[in-house]
Amino acid sequence: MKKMIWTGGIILVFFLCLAIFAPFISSYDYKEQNINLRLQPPSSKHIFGTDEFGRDVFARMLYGARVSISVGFLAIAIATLIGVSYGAISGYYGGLIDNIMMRIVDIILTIPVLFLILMLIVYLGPSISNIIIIIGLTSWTDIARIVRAEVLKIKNFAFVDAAKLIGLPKKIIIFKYIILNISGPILVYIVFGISGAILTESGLSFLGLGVQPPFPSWGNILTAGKDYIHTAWWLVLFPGIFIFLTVFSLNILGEGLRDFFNPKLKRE
Amino acid sequence: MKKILEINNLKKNFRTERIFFGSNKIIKAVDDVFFSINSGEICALVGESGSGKTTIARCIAGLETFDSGSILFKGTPLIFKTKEERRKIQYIFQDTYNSLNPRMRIDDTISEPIKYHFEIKGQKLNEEVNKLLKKVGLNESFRKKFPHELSGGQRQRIVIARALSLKPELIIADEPVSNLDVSIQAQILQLFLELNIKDKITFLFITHDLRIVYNLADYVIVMKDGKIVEQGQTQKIYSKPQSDYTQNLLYSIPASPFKN
Amino acid sequence: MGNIIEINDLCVNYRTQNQEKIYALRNLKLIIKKGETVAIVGESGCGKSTLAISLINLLPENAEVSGSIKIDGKEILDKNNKELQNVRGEKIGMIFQEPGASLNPIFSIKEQIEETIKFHKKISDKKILKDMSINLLREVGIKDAERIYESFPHQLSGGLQQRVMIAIALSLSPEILIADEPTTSLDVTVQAQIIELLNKLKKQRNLTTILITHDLHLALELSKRIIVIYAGEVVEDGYIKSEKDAEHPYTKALFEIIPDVIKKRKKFKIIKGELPDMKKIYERCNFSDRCNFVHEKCREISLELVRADKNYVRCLFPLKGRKK
Repeated sequence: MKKMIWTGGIILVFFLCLAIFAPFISSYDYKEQNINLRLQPPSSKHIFGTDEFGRDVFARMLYGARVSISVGFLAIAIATLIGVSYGAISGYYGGLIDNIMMRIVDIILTIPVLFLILMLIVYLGPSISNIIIIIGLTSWTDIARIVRAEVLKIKNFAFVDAAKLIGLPKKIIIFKYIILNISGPILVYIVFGISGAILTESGLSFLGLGVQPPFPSWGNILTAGKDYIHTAWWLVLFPGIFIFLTVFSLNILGEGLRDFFNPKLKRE
Repeated sequence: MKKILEINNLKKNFRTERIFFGSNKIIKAVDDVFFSINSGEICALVGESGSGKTTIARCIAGLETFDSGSILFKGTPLIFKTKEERRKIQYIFQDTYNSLNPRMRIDDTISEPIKYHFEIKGQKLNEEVNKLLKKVGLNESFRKKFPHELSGGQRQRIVIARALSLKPELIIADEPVSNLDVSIQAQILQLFLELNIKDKITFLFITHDLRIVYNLADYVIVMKDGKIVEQGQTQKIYSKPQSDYTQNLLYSIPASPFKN
Repeated sequence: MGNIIEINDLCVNYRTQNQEKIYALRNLKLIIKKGETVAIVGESGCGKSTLAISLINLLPENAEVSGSIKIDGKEILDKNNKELQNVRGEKIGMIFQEPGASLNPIFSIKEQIEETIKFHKKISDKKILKDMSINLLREVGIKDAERIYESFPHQLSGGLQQRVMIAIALSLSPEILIADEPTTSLDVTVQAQIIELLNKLKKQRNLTTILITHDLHLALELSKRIIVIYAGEVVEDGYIKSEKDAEHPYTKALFEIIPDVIKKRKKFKIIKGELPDMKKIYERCNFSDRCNFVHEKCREISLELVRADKNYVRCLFPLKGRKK
């Protein structure tokens, strides 16, 4: 359990550092073209080789990390904000309100998300901010359900009654007494959610509906590489590995955190 | 003596959830209950599980609504509209594990109600918290701790301190010692007695333990299936129980002296 | 009569996640004769439940055991699992605190009783199985046994569930019955009925009965021999009927703190302080911090269980006998 958290955490921090310190790690510009050096295999000068326009793949990967990871984090930030408030209100008030709110979620869940995203992007046009908003707006239902379930459990605990007996306002009861106590499951969802969002973004970019060139994202680097898969393996291998490792690290981090917050596994 | 609480015709039904085409079942949790508590007394509400004693307690504290009847606190119906009204009735819970917010330090737990109701800050608040801790038999070192660092008995003391912080006139104690070890139970019960005698706090004490009731309560109400079976002065109930049910309860006390 | 259970130097530690150790049982010695009834009394965390699950060798994985437990002269701590299953069902029957949690909610009572008999006795004839089950249910005082036999656990009250658990525990005719807080989750009137039932069964079947409880008065209802455990050690072992027979200060205190129903006191006697930290072992009397009769010497040496007046007591200055 602790091992999973550490391994996942370290890989994730490594990629975060790559993204944050991109300009210090590589001296190349991600959009600087050099036709003379197109499709060079990895060498000491270009450690991940170059692409069809002679751009340094390593530099593009680093800047792509910025895009991919920030899309993941920001999209899930939106989803968390909506999902937590929605789930908390539904669970806390219960009764008719809960019933209506949850049926709405059920209806949303019947819509195939990928097609919805594709349609929205075609309609709104692909840009990084649109992608963040669209992924965010389509992935809050899971967290809303998790939060509702947890709130239903916690709101019957005696300490919540105690807060009511003090006469504290509902706002404080919901946040300080309920949501703070389910931060564990929320964090677990966030971690899994980010991994899912990164995958969605890669998929969209791979289909050409995500981040548009010349801005790099792991997905569109992969797309560009697929035409040269027989001659320039490095164009698909490295983005593939990066996506795999990031998603993998987030997933084992999420698993580890889930065990960590599971009271049954914690008992002495 | 002045009545602090009067309960008339109190009724509360629960409806069981209907599954598919089954019919709703109505359970009469509280069925036409009358009683009153004199100011300064300890009144015990006795009954087995499902007798409706906790439901009554939660209705009085405003944690649950009731269907019909009235609950008068010092002659006026309770609606919990004002802060003042809210703080005067407090509740001690059975569940010692979940009665404190696990994310809040003891310090915050006790000072939050004081800050909210009395707008006391700084040094004065500090002194107030220390005074309350002392009153429930703990010291200042507990302020920095979290609930999980405390034993069941210590947690229950903190819950009592939190209730006392609001200077209540009536404390409802719902099976407050049944989760505690016998050697700790006695300590907490003694604390209740002291609060009743020294601070003149009225108690509604809910329990199934007739040994405790005998030594603690002035007045006893025996309940079964949502109805009051018998009520009266403690001595009278124990020496001359009127109903078969009360008699059965007295016989069932382990190593009961009533058997012979 | 011979000894059916002999426990010698039994130590059980639990390793916690933080690699600390909880010393649940400390050099426990206990001999129980065939057909005897024994009540083990103690507060939570004193090791009484650990003792019960040690007897059926069902300790969790993080437990370390040393010492010896002999049942009918056979050591059970080093047996492999297959043989243990025989010990569990055929030698020892056990009932637990939460009958609702011990019964499997998705099987009927019929299936749960018959499963045990089928597995151990290799009987597959439906008629015989049914007769055996119904007889068992009648034996534990269930009047409409035929109906209960067909029902599911959630349709039964707590008291009935516990009776069914007792029926299952008895289904293989064990010689020993261990009841671990069998009435704690039940109402007082039901508790009285269950204790009455256990009293009847132990006589009828000549069972060696071990009652584990936190309630001293409940122990007195069922058993003459009372074993008081404190901090993983037996502090008193003997025939106790009332406060007058207590020879260890802790036993006496336990009697005192439980309120009387004859003379109203309006004051509760208390044992000061908290239960001891089970993560530490001291070379002294574990009760010394809370004892009203404490002497300087009590804090200096650890003690053995020795005979005081009539009972065996772990105390330097017992309340009876051995007076200086």
